[in-house]
Amino acid sequence: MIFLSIIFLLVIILEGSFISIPFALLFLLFLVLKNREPWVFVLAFFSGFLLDSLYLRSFGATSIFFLIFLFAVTLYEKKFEIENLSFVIIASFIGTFFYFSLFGNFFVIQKALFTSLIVLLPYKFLIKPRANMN
Amino acid sequence: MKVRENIGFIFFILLLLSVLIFFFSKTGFLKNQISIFNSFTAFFSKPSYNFFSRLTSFPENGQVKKLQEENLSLIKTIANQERLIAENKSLHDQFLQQNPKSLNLLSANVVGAPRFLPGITWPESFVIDVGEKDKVKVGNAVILRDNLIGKITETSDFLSQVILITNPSSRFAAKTIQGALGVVKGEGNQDMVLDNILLSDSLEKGNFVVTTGDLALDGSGIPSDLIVGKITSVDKNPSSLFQQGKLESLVNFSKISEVFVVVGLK
Repeated sequence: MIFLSIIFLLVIILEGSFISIPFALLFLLFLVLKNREPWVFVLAFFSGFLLDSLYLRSFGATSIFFLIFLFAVTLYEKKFEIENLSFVIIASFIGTFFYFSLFGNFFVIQKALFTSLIVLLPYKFLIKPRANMN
Repeated sequence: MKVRENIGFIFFILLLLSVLIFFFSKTGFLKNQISIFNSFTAFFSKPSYNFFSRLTSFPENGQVKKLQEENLSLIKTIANQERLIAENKSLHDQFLQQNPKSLNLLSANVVGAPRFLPGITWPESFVIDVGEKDKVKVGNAVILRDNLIGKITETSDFLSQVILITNPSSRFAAKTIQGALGVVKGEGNQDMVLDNILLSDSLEKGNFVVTTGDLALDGSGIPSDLIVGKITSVDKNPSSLFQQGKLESLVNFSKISEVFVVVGLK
């Protein structure tokens, strides 16, 4: 848990200070896919404030987005199998697209496409082994 | 099922909290707390930016680096020289004009055009590098070779904001060379209209529009007979009270880099 928190903090600082890829959003997406538990939402709430501070946005804006996005993902669990590759790619594309659109980024579609492609790697190591076990 | 209910409950509580914090942040109620938090995060973000940028930059050959620096310095010298030539030409052209008298003009460089994205939007205001220290006042006209560009709306010690005549908030009196009086209104995106012209007045495509003059006692305001633009189309309806004409400026606002402020008439 401590290791996970440190990694997450590093991911937020990396996103907030250097790379405009929504690593925090992807990290939270994988967390909610693997652990559909309330603490993931608490983490989303606080990480949103950190990102708002690093990007000098209005406080609370990112938290609202993260919470709604994660809740929407958990709602889909009732209807679909969410631990498969196509869902992960589509969810990360839609999430990134709205995230970039809402927070005034340029080249939104290109960035969203790129982000939905880079999720393949963490999917292979984090989600797939569990899906195979089941 | 219990976990799902917990998730729903936690989600709504956290969402409510986030919305409240967002609202207070927007209204400036949490300004002090946020600035403390920001200074705390800035303490981490700066070294991490330096670290990651150093990590991704490749080691450079000393000779290549020296040549690159020399190249940059030479480019800067050439750019300065070209700027001086252009400035000299511009001053020469401007001071050859008869109206308004050259003694009352103050040369200024455009240093900003907020919300202007070349090829996507047109400039609607400029920030210029002269201010109150240079005796610029709110209301002073800004011109380029007898063409009215805009009006000073805000000043600081060293900078001023110019609202262009095409800006939707711009309004001033003008007339055609033939004498039809009206009001020029900016419509954004490089468009203007000459409105409120009596139906009995003659207004035709190709008519030139000039300012009627709106000077205050201290010399601030818009001098008369500055060129505003050319009528490109006329909208005349016999049942309306007034007629209006679409107006096009002779100046391409997206390519202006230097302007002149009329700081008063003698």
